Amino acid sequence: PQETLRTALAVGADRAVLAEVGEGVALGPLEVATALAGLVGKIQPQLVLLGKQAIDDDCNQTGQLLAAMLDWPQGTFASRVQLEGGSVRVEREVDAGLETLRLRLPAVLTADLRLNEPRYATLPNIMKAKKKPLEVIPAADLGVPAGPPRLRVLQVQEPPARAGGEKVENVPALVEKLRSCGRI
Amino acid sequence: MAMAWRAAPRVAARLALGRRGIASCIDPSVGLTEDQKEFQKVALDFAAKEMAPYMAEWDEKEIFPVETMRKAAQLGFGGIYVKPDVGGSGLSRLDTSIIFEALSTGCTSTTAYMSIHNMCVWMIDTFGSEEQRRRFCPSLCSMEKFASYCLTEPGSGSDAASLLTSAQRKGDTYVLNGSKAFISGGGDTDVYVVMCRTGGPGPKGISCLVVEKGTPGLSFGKKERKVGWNSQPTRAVIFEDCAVPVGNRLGAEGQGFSIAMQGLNGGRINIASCSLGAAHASVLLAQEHLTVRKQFGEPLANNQYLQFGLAEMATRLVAARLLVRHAARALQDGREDAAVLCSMAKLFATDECFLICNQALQMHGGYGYLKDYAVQQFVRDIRVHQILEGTNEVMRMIVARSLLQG
Repeated sequence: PQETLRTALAVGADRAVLAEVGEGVALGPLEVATALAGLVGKIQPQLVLLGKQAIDDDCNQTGQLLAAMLDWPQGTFASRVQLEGGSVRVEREVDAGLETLRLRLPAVLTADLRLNEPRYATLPNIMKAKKKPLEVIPAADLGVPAGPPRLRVLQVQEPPARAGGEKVENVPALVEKLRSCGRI
Repeated sequence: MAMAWRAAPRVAARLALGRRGIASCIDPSVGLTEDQKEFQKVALDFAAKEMAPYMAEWDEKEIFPVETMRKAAQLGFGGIYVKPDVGGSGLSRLDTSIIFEALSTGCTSTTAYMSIHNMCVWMIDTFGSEEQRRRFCPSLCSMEKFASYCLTEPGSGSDAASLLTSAQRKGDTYVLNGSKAFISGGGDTDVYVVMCRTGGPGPKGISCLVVEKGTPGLSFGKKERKVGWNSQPTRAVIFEDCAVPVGNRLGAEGQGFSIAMQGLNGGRINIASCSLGAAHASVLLAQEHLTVRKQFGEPLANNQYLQFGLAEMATRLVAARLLVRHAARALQDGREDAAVLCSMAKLFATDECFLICNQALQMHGGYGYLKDYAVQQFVRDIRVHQILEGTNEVMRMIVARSLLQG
């Protein structure tokens, strides 16, 4: 994890904080949101930017949970973000298309793929990254409860293999088939 | 049907994402510091996104990718081992080798030119006066301007010290007459680092002058048509009563040959590093092809002869890489035997990597011969690495001399 933070510093971040969790502790969105809420308490930011969902569990919950804990407005699946004084204008990718919101700061945003292209680190910034502060805080200090995870994955299975389709001769036969399957 | 042209960017992307598994024995990040891994990551990313998708087009249309190189310069690749006070990145020779090796997976020809450019900026940075460093280096580090290294002439290649381009002192100028051959970037670049004769015969009569494009009396020959390195123009550089201010001389009169050779020590490591990148990409291309292509009812990868071939390629690659990095460290540390090690590294790596790329082409069968497939471009682009910056024959001369006279 320190490597990931150093890369972020190399790309332009000013400082990094690592909330350290013990070996083998499983973190779900609730635990991560709790830790972030603790960090927000320490750092007092105006804006929290998260990914919209993690690639391992695909939960899409952390940002929303955090906003609820802090009682802050949330702009999730953000594909465009513009700061406007004391508020932020967010374009969200939703199923129906694009939704634009204006949120009063402080706020929580989660990033969609289309938000931007990550910039390259530059060689001088990679070297400067070593000197930028990286603080390590035990997760327990941020209020993350010790103990077993509250969520346990019982089973993961593939969807059933698709049965083959069937060709019909003409439209009346199609309608008949659909009726007999109960589709219409 | 085996894979198509898109293979090169996909292979470059695999390298950039650092996918382990089968390829971990040839992983180029082994043994590197955290910082070096970061440099390598940036360079691999850049190669995968900004170079690999275009390397075929640049080769076919003979495009000198100025904008892409300037983007690279913004990341610090314009003066990698040049001092930061004039815009360089101040990194070591080993860092430089790692970076060029990574960039070369995206486009070997363009990376090789960038290494020549870097070599020229370093020469000005190291041997130039404060005034010269400040005048030339910043715009070269940003690649606002490009540089060329001018040593070889029609009559003097391996016998570089016999060069004939003369620079006659006239007041506060040198007047140059003569011509240089095979100059990478010639005609398109802005700053020419020229080795010319100010004194008597032999190396001690040679000085180094910086000549700027647009100087009256400076002209260029036709663009050469080459087997590879097509993303950089190659032309003769011609001097006809070309007057250059004395203030453009790097170092002292008679120091030019030494400056040229010291530049080449680094240049040799850089060229060797470019070969390493091409070879690595070719190994991955071959590995992928062997798993996908089937003959006689099975993937080619089930064939022991080809398995052995791939193993040999991987072994050569790692051996070559180790020697190049060893030489880079020696040069950085200023060891007495550094120049000899650089020659060994250049000799070994360029020869071995050509064998690797050529074998990868063979493994592709007929497809390897088509320009739709990237492997042939790696072969064509690195073939010349066995010839320039000192032929591999001259590299042997340097090593033999050190063993028999040293």
